[in-house]
Amino acid sequence: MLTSLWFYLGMATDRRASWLKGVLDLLVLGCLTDGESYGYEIARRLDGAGLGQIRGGTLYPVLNRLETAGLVAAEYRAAERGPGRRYYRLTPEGERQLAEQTAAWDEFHATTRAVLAGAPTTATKGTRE
Amino acid sequence: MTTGTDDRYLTELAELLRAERMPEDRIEAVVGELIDHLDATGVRAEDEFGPLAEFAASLTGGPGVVPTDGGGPAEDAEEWRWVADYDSDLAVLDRYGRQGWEVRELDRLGRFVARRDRGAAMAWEYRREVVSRRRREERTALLAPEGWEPCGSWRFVTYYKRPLAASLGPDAALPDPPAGPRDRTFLSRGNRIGMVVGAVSLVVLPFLLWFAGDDPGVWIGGAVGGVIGGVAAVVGVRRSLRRGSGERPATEPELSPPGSDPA
Repeated sequence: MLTSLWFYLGMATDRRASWLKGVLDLLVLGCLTDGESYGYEIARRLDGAGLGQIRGGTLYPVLNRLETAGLVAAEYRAAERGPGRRYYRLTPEGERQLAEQTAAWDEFHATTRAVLAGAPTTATKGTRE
Repeated sequence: MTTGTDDRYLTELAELLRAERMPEDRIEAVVGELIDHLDATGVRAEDEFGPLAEFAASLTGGPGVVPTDGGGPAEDAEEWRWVADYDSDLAVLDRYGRQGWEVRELDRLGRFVARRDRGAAMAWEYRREVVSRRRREERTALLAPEGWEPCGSWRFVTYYKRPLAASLGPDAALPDPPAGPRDRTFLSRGNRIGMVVGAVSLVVLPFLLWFAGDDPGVWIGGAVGGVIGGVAAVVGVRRSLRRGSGERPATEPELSPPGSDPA
């Protein structure tokens, strides 16, 4: 009964999810350029930017990977009330990776936009085989 | 047939879809399918499809809750459905949350639907709140800054989850989680006894009343016993809910304690 609706719904959400999945680590790094932050604040910032709610089950594995890779450093601070928070900040390596990957994303985005607009394109470093 | 509340939900949904520039014929088809579905199942629109804004966003691909896991479980994901009473639920959630089981929802039968990706398991913690449906969103907003997300509601009880990674970081990952549990039902000793007594009473009572005939003493005794049993059940549930709901003292972490700056 709802087959076509769910199909339509699934296509829209899957595509958006795939886009976000490919760039979420970069977005999280980008949220730390102004200084340290914590999980809820990062998720809220991404939501506020129009990217939708990022659940903890999605966000924390990304933060863990970034921390293990040395791109962010974390510090747990106990709070007077509540469970305390784990604060994240960019490391110098994280800053370098962010700059490099942001440039790569910009290049990819420009190429994609040009193709979608039907304009002639020249192959770029990120898209040439 | 849809109710007035459903009509309002569907009308506002159509307006939101229109605002997102969905074609008019598409809106008509979508709303038509939803009405057919509600008529066929008899469920309420908001119960079935969730909060209006999020549902509209999911239909238009706009921002909502983004399923960045691709919308489906990983290939090696396990699913486990189980049921527990209010005396046992938090202990089970604590135990298996630390084994990587993430509760996604409570199904229509009130069972916890938990999932775990063995290849990427991480520990979870849970809490239970007694809150009316009307105040649920308010409570959720209050708990969100602490990292709690709702993961299921059953009448006036809402469960919340939080990844332990929020405090433990990578130490909350479970590279080699234990085998999945076999149990599906968790009841306290008191409730098991209560259920047996209730079942026996249901079987025996009709015979007693049949043989008692017109003896008013047996009828009155049965009625009084029923009322006392009902009151005891209500008092027991209230006491169980009071015992563990809301903020709880920190439990034994079983994992590495929150470390200081690893850098």
